[in-house]
Amino acid sequence: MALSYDPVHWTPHKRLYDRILIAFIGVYLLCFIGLQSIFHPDCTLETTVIRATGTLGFFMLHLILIIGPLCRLDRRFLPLLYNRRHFGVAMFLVALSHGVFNLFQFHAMGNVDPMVSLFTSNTQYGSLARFPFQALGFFALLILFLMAATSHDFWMKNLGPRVWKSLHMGVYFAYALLVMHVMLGVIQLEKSPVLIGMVGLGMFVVIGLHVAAAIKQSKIDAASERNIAIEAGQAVPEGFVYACEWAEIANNKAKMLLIGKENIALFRYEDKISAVHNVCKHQNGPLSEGRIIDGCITCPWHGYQYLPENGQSPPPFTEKLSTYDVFVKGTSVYVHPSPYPEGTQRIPAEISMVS
Amino acid sequence: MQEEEFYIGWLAKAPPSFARRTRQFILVSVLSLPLVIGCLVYFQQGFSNGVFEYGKQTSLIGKFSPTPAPFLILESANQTNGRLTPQSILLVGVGKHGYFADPKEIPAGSKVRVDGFLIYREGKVALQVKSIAVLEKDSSVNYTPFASVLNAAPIRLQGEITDPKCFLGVMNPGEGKPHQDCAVRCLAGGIPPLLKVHDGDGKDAYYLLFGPNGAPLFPQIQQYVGSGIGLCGRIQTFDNWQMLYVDTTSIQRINKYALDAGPMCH
Repeated sequence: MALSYDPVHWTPHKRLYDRILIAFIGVYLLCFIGLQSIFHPDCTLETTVIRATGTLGFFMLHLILIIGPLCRLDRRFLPLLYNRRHFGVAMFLVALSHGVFNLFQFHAMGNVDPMVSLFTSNTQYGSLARFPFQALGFFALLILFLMAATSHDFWMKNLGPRVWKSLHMGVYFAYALLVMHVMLGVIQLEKSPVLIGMVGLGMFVVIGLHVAAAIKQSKIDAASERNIAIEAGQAVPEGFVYACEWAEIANNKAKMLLIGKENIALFRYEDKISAVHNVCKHQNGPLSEGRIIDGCITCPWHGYQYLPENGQSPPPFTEKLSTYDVFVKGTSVYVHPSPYPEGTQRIPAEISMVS
Repeated sequence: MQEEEFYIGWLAKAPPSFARRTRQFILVSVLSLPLVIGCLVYFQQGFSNGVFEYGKQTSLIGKFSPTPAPFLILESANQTNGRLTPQSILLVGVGKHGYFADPKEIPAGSKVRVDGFLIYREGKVALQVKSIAVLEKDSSVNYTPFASVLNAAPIRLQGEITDPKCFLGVMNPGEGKPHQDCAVRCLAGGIPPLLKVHDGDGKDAYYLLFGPNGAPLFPQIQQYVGSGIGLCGRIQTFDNWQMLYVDTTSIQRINKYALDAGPMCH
């Protein structure tokens, strides 16, 4: 968390992350160029650079795309998510170098402007096999540029997490465009089943992990769902919905509840229970998977913090969450699913350890 | 009960189980690099031995022949830079442009000295012209170095259209879908199209394409560049070059390596 917009708010983890990232990129490019010069000494340097940067960018995009579902499946992958935007920006720069080399190699020094050439040299937009694959790459690069350019917290703050997140979901459209870019481009020339199989394997891993994460999340959601009509308690104040037994919530941890459209995180701490909106203001992280640390709800994704009683980030930070009323009767916990305005102070429900 | 570990990015140290799992991910990613890169490199189909001597200037003296494409005709095949240079050398311009000469300044048949950069592959040679100097203007009206008789009967050929400049060595590969846009730009810039014909025995033959009367074929063939086509035309051979004067109505898209001979030529 930071109050001001530094270009990069460095932490030891970010420094380590970036060093490993730069080393990874360097090792890949050196290995590719070295092996290419051994196995294909007749290949021109331009072609080698284009293929090295293109394959590296595509490989990095796969790694970026699998980090999200891996974290959903096993939260111990979270350190990879913490600085993923640097990974994304690095991938964009690699892809940009691929695009610029291509634009110069195939379109510059001709009788029309390179950008005009990009869209008019091959006009067979009506044919799948002969489709202008470079245009697909251009639009994918455009999406990646928008994502890289708006990756900073400044843009997240000004666009709002919902818009920002929606914009950044464009990475999946970019991925689809790039798969087509590869299949309708270089794979039309390089027809080795191994290369085609590698593209297929990459898609299988990306899609498979997303499906697995979605199945796991749907099970969590189903377990968290509460039906207002059926489970509304009779001996509790009107409008409250049974949530769980307080013993089901570990101390300083939370339980997620889906009541109607409300996504609620129910935190237990210091023999008290408070409820806040489950979605972090930073990047829509799942707060119910976080912890109470130093008296604050702490988001598992990037460590954003909120006070459980009022949903406010501790001063001087200004992020605020909606809060909910909680009622405890005996060992049972009830929640009123009507949210209070963000940052509204609510009295936590006290739990009695003696039943 | 042992407290479950929790990761916060802005703390100095990650919990051991998180650090371990992250290290495992990095290790798997790094260890997969040799396999990924090895497959990506090894399973490419290979590259031609075409050469572009960019930066290594060559000077040649011969006669200038502007039609149907600009050629420098040497007096005989000779040794240049320790390599056999055939008699006829296709002249091309800088970038994606053909070479054009003002007929008033360089009439056909003039003796010229051309400085430029050689491009060669499988016995075919082109020269990217850097400068050209007229040593002796030719006053004869009909300079015809391509004296071989045009084949009377048209023949049918099938293959892929690309541009000779890139194909001979400026780009590698200078053919196929990835190179399609570049080939279109080169042809649009005035470089004559090249038809690569695969004979099925692992050998390729190459033909420079022109319209029936030697006129440029671009832009009629733009949509066919980079993919398989079949066409009819009459062949003219000179030195180690073959020109094909194409019946433009006969061009049709086919599988590049189809064995079917296609319709008869008329």
